[in-house]
Amino acid sequence: MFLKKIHCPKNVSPANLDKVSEIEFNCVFCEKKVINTDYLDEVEITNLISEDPSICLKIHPANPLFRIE
Amino acid sequence: MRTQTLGNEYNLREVTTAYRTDIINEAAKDGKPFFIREVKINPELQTTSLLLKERLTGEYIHVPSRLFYTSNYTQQFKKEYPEELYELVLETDEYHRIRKTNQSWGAYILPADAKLSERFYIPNIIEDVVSSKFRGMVLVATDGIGLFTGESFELDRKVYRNMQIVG
Repeated sequence: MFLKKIHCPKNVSPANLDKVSEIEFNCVFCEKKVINTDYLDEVEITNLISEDPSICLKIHPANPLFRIE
Repeated sequence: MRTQTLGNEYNLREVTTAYRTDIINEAAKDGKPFFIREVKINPELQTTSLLLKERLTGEYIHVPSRLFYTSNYTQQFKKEYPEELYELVLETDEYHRIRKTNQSWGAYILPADAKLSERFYIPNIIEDVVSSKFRGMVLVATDGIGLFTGESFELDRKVYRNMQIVG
């Protein structure tokens, strides 16, 4: 099952994010909420995407939870 | 090609990247330190892929190889394109950084008052660097951090280790 296309049209980097908490950031370009997945488990991440398929995520490449097509 | 941008997280002073002799000549006149770099191919940014044609339907498909795996968060999927079902049309080579043909070299131009051991943000790096390898996907760095030693200006490759993907 495909869950989300990881793509940012503005090619935002972590430097463009304002930290609200360890988990929540705000994008300075579009003011959208960005969720840091480092602190979430697989179920939490899946639920977030199910609730809002366009949600923005911050992902560390070494996070073993993620696989990409 | 997918690129990844580090950003100037620490508000460092910026260096200019130039690919023209008149710009470096001007920098020399102005007393600005500059460092010339040859553009070199990075084998890590070279990949091959296959253009296949399904024998039964005649449909074309472009794939990384005849056998590869894709996955989502919970499951892994095996994808196979055997010779008996898929005819090889072309084996293609890709290079994951696109640049102009006249950019075979470049130069970093620092501010005239650059200090020893000062770190600079480089909005446009000359080197072809892999910023992340993410489950088979290669991301190319567009920017970087450089350290001025007085004698040299070196790209700090450690900064790419902690890069995150946003999307």
